[in-house]
Amino acid sequence: MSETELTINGRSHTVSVDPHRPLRDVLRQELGLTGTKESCDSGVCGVCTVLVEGDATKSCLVPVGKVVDKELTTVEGLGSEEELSEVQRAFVDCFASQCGYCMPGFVLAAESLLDDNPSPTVEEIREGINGNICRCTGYVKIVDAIQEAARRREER
Amino acid sequence: MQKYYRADSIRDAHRALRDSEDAEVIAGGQEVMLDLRRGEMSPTTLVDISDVDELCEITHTEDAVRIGACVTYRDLETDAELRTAIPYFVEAVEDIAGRQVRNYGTLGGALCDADPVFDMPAVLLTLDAGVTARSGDETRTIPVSGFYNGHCDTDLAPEEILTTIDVQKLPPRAGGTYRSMTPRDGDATVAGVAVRLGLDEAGLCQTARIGLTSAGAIPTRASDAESVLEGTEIADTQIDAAVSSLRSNLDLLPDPLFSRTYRKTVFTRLTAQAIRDVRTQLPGDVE
Repeated sequence: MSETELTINGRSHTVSVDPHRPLRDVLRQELGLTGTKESCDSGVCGVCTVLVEGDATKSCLVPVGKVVDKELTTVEGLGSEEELSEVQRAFVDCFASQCGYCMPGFVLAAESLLDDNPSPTVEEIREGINGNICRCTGYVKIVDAIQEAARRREER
Repeated sequence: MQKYYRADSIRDAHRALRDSEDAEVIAGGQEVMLDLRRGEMSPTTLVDISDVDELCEITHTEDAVRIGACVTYRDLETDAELRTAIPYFVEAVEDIAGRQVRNYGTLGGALCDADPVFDMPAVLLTLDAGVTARSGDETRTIPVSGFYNGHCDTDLAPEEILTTIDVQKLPPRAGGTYRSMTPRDGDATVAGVAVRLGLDEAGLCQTARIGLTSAGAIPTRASDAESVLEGTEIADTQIDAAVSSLRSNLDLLPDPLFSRTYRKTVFTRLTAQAIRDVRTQLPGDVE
């Protein structure tokens, strides 16, 4: 165990953890940030997606020692219950969520996709979220929501 | 006690490796974390080399590109000069996993992990690429074709660190492609075929390279099929002959999900499609 300082959603946290432990487990078990989900444990499903310096990454594949002194963003750092982020709002308005378990991962993947490419084509959106799995929706409404979020961001 | 050491130079990384009884090198971490979880490695120290500047550079010269071992797939995808110089190399990168993995996964990491399902070694084989490895002050170059000793086993000595991957840019009258089959986007490749063809001044095939992913314990070239094409006009009959030679020489490992017969058919079709596709990129194609 070693003292590790992490910057998450703009706040600094000190935790005492093994540095090889996956970032996901530290977020969930040590810091109570359970918006980051766990599922496949093998980098396939994308429910544990977080942003590291703005880039989407799967937190089950990142040892916590790797992200010391990096800016981390989890779904808790996007909007608040009163004021959702544009992407979150678009997911709600487009009915893109069913059971909701995969949503934090999709929302963060979408945020980073739109930061890189503010007006993606449908093909680019599909490619951009192919690291995330949703078992309920069939993806159509998720793609709609990301298109809608892109439109709203452009109008801003 | 577990340690995580972020090296700031190759020398520093070597020192950290020497200082620990059981250290392992980590680059992007996309495979190392799986190995840790499966208990396939349990080092006391992880030596992270992904902050070493010289390992993160892409250097272009007129006819070659030198790619640092810790250059990520994302870096490769966004390198416009590379895309112009070897389009099929970058297109193959774009098809790897999802963007989260490409943001962190490195070309050097994939080579060192040596899992035969990884796509880029087949592409590198068709480009006659080489790698350099460093141990202390000693540097040696190894062709990618000699880099693999067996399943998930490379020619690297324990103290050696892979530093660069060196690739020749496509000469005139040459083209290439990579085709692969995955059950769904981003899954492990069940069959993958890279093809590069080059013509001589008379319009005959001077160089044929065919690299295969998931076709055995290590990434391999289909040398017999290559020789069938070389010296020919790459007419349909010659493509058929090359593909049939490839099929009869395939020596596939067992797979729990996909039978050998099925995979042989996939390899055959992908190869035929790939050769035809590359032919359309070459001058004088009448199709």
